Amino acid sequence: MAEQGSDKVRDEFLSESQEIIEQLNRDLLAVADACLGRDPSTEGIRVDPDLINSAFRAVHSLKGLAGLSGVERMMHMSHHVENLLDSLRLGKVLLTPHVLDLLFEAIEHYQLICAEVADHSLHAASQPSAIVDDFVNRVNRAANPAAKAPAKSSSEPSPSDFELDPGLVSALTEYEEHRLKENIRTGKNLYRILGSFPLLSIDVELENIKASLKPVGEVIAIVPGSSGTDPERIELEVLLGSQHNSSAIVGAVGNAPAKVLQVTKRGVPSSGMSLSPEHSGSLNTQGIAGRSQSSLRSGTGSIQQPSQVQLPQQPIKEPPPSDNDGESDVGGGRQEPGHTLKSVSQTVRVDIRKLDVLMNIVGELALTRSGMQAVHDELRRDRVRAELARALQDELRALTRKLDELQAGILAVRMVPLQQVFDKLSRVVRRMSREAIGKDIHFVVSGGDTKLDKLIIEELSDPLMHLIRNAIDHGIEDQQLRLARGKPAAGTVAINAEQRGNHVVLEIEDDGNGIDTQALVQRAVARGQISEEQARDMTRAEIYELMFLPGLSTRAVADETSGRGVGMDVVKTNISRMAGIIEVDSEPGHGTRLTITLPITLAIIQALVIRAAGRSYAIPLNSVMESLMLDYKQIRTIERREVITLRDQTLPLVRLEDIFSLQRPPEMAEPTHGYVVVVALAQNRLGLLVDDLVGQQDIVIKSLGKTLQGIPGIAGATELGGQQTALVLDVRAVAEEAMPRISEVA
Amino acid sequence: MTVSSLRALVVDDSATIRNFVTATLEHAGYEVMTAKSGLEALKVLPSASFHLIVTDVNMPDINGLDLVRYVRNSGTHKSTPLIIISTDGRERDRDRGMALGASAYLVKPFLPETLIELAKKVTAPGANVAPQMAAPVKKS
Repeated sequence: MAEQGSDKVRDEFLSESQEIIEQLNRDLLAVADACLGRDPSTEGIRVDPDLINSAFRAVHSLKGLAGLSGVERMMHMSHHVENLLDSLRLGKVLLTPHVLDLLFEAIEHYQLICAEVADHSLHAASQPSAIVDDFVNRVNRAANPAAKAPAKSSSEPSPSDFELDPGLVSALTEYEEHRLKENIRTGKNLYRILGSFPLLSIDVELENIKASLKPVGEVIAIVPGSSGTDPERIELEVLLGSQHNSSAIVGAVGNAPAKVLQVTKRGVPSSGMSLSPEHSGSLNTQGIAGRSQSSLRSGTGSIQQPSQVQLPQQPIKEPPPSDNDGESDVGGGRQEPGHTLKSVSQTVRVDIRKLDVLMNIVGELALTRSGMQAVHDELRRDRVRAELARALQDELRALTRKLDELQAGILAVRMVPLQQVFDKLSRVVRRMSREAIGKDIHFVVSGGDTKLDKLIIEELSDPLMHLIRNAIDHGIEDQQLRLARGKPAAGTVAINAEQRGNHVVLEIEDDGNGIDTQALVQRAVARGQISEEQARDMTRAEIYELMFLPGLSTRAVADETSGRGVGMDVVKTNISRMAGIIEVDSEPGHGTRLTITLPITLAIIQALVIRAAGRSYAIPLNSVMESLMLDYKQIRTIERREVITLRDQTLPLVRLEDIFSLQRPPEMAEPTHGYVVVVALAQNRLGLLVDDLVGQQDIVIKSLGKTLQGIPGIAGATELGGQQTALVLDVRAVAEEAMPRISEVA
Repeated sequence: MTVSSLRALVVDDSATIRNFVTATLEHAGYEVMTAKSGLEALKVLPSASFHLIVTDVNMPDINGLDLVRYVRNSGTHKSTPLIIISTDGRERDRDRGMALGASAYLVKPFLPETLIELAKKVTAPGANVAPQMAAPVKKS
């Protein structure tokens, strides 16, 4: 019982700390970005104070979390890192590359501590560690440097010189007060933005206001106004520092229901602002600042009427009438033409793992739906409730449709056009044709709008880059040779993408040398990868496959463009990792064509569900070429290896029960016939011998959890509906498991 | 030790601390409402009554000091006992909070018993709830 409780605490600690550490990492990366190209030597680097503050808050939260969870080491370390960040954000320490390095190092220590907690327990990280102590010492040295940030002269203006509500100032945290002073010190204008927001939409409205103010200044503090006037509304005051004039601030606030006031210096008569008569009238009636707690709190508390403003501040902008047509008031306001302070981008960046989570939920909803279907079937048998069953069936159909749409929608978010990769390739080709002497390259791209899963696109750019470089470097001849061969002087390298069903096919074509099969065979023999005997009977297709052997495609001499080390074997590995296939076709003297076939997505896959030795397995359909029924009499044995002949080619067979050492249940007779599922990986084909084909199904792969992870040949598990689970085959691993046996035979 | 129908509001942006304080107070017989931010607390405060408010100081946007000031100036919660949770090394902010009218403060990390004891103390009848009424603190 106690054990379970502490496990829960630990999980909670881990998930919350991970979230905070990730935030910290993002903040620091943004700080590092902002530091790029700046000269930190004298002044330190100035970055958006919000970033430093956000990092500070992250470490602050980690410290509190670690303290409550008893993770002493993390608390101890956070305490000192927090001090450093606090000094940074309070301007007591300058941001230097060294300080930034220390902060990044903190993330590593945090990760180590979390890993230790995850592997053992919360108490595992309660003892001090020499590494962390050393780090803390360095952090402390940085937090208390010999040369501190320059002390401010006392003659500088301070907040008390401004007509600020003392009540507001009294509730500023140390940091907020520092930021206020910094804004004053650097000569920024101060503004108060006062608004009254409906309870229901205040979160959105506040975010909108913050977002629209961000480009024009710094939000120093947000302070609530008085309560009680209207329980359905909250009054807020934003204190903003900005170098811009009031009209820019008014523009930024836009149509949001808020009023902008500029804070003036004490003793400075308000002038120069365009004031309407009634406003100046109200200003004259004001008492001395500080007598009232806040303009928001005074009188009826309404900020809609300018006459209620009690401080000598100029109302620059009045909120729009609250009954404006309702079309945009929640959204924070339309922009007048000419005001383009809001971001025009309509896109959000999303961590792809979040989409995976959504996809999983869709999968689970589909299972729930199957459960409901079962309930429906039950219901239908009851004659009295047949009517109800029909109604339920209709609802279920609608649910199915919507689930499909939801799934398609999430998939669509993951899809990215290949053009992104093609653009990169074009840049490389341009550079190469400038550098490759004697070669003029005509690069033709088509099908860039074909979309693929983001994860695949990421993985694809390196292999494609390599293939294109290969084509230019080894494929395209120099101009003289081309002209001698009667080809145009400029060599053509073309890449084309198109979608075929659930796959995308990429073709990379060049009109160059073609593959010298003889040289390829000689090299393979010389390296001992094939025997001379084998070399003699090889078909052309088999010879092309030699290209993918490690070390064979890499040239003895590395050159500038193709480089050394990365061979076609790596390309093949990368592509098969994405469940893709690569095929080669070439005509000597005329050119080479490489065809890459990839699944559109990796998130949700279509699978062929099969049964072997009484168990269900799912085979990802993108590696299935075909399946056929087989009378076991057709199986031949070549050198102790089971094979069949399929369209004049020998297809090695693997029995799933052999791979996973499955025991056939005693009541099951040894079958006389079954099915062969032909799977392909890169250029290898393999037949999986199974008892029965159940059917095709969309599946969401779930990981197996720690204990079962790493079983070769199993990629995960999936639910088939009706409480049934099946293991998902990792075809690549199954093939690898099987292939050594095959090559032993060969 | 069970005191029925005592209501507390717990404000903290860290889920762990929120849960910890909530569990502790619930154990002490409180019915607990939570808010993940100062803003969320503002939404709850006008329409509900509480016997105790526990708030973190360092929160984004509306901070704990703002909440103290707001509560002490509001009609309904003027005299509600309020405990601020502060962190070692942030004495300045803690002092501000006390000056603004917080009833007591706790320094993280703290034991559940410490919180319960303090809650008992500040909610005891006749406890001097708000020793200093929102007097603006001049500090420059």
